Amino acid sequence: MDIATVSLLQITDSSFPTGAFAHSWGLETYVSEGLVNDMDSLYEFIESFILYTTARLDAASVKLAHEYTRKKEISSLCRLDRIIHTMKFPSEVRQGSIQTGRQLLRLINELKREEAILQTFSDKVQRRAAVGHHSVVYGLVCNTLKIPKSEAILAYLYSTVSSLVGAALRLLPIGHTEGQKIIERIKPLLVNTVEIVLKVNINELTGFSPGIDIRAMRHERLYTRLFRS
Amino acid sequence: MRCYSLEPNLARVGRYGALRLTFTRDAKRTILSRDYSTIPMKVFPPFYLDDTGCAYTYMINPTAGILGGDRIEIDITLNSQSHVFLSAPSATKILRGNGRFSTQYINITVKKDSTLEYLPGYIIPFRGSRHSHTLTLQMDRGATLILADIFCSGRSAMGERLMFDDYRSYIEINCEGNTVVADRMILRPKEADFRSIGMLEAHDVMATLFVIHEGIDSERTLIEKLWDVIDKSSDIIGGVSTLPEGGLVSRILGATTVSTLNTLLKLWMEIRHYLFSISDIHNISRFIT
Repeated sequence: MDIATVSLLQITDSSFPTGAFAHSWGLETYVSEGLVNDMDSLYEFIESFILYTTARLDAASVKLAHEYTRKKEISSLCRLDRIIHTMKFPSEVRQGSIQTGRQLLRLINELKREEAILQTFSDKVQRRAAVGHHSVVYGLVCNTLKIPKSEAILAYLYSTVSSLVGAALRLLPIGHTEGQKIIERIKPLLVNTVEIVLKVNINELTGFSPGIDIRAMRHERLYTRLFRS
Repeated sequence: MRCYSLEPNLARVGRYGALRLTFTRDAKRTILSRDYSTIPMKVFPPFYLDDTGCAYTYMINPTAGILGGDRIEIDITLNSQSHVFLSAPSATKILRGNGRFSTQYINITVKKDSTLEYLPGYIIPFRGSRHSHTLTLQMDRGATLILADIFCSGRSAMGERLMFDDYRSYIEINCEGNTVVADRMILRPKEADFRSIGMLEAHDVMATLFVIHEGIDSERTLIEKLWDVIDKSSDIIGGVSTLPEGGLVSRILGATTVSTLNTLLKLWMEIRHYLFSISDIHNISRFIT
């Protein structure tokens, strides 16, 4: 038993207030278009989101940020943060990643003031020399909390799924048990995806999911919206 | 061309084609001031479709297509205050080549107060092909860009869809040295389900349009017009969004190249009308085939 595991549970808990619950990352548009309307289509959306949007972009960014923090490479962290900024095209998705990232950074600074690299990165975000995207901050925070890289990535994938299921519960006529069935079904995929994520280098970051990109852009235009993205 | 077995250096197998173009603004209009090309690449002498001085020209590859092992390098410079509309008269066909990659590198410099409109032919990767495409743009202050990238899943008319082995594309736009757009695709149809929700879904064509122009991201009237074009188009789905620093992006998925190109051209017309007060749709659609 160690404190690092408890820290991981803490920062990925839905009561840890990063504001991720306010986002559906394009799911709300899919539901409004009727394309995601039951358990199977919801599972397909979440699977695509993990494999094609998250694995080689945000989760890979967690992996890289974790490694850069271990090596105390603040300039590499800032470069990664900048790359993530230029690869997220739908404005609401980019803003959501920044808002949750900065919120995580602010919270961690309230709890852990002694970490030098955390302080340096926070200063850069404050001076707008860095943006503060969520995956970058999360990788940085996990390393400073001594959470091993693979566990950090797995927890990141899990909380992505958990937050999408949470959004689905509010958007679709499905109950909590059905939501848990989705999570149960996707577990092996999450474990396998960690292996994919661990192999991605900085020149291979990519999020190819044009269908999700377009729905995330269209979200700005939805007549009624529960979510911020 | 030498026999493969006698040539161990993969980079030297296949054709090497280069194209280097420089455009310069003279008193009234933009001229092609430097032009160097090797087989298979060629450029058309510019022509002038309107009174803005914009040089319209085509880059052409008159051969059957890009073959595995081919390497094509294109360098384009727009000197300050020039305006160029660069297109291609046909699709870029990526042919298979015994498992070898073909590569295409395009480097573009858009100097101060100049404008580039770049609509390359749509890319069709054939069964078994492997291709890597890199486009980097350096833009100076006050430079404007309208750029499209169009990708087809294959020769869909003959039922060949997503049969290529590997297609990689990387587009990077830099403004005054800072990267503002990085768009990377690494597509291996054997390893991913392109038909699933979130990917290409039922569509066979994907187009992305980037517009870089200072302040354009806050032009609500223009953005509304672009949404209007998308909402009124049939056989496509699409979206528009703003980029981090003074840009717009639109992504479109279409059932066919015709429906996708039609939408793209209408978006282009709205942007041209806003930026240059050019509204003659007939000239441009005759130029683009």
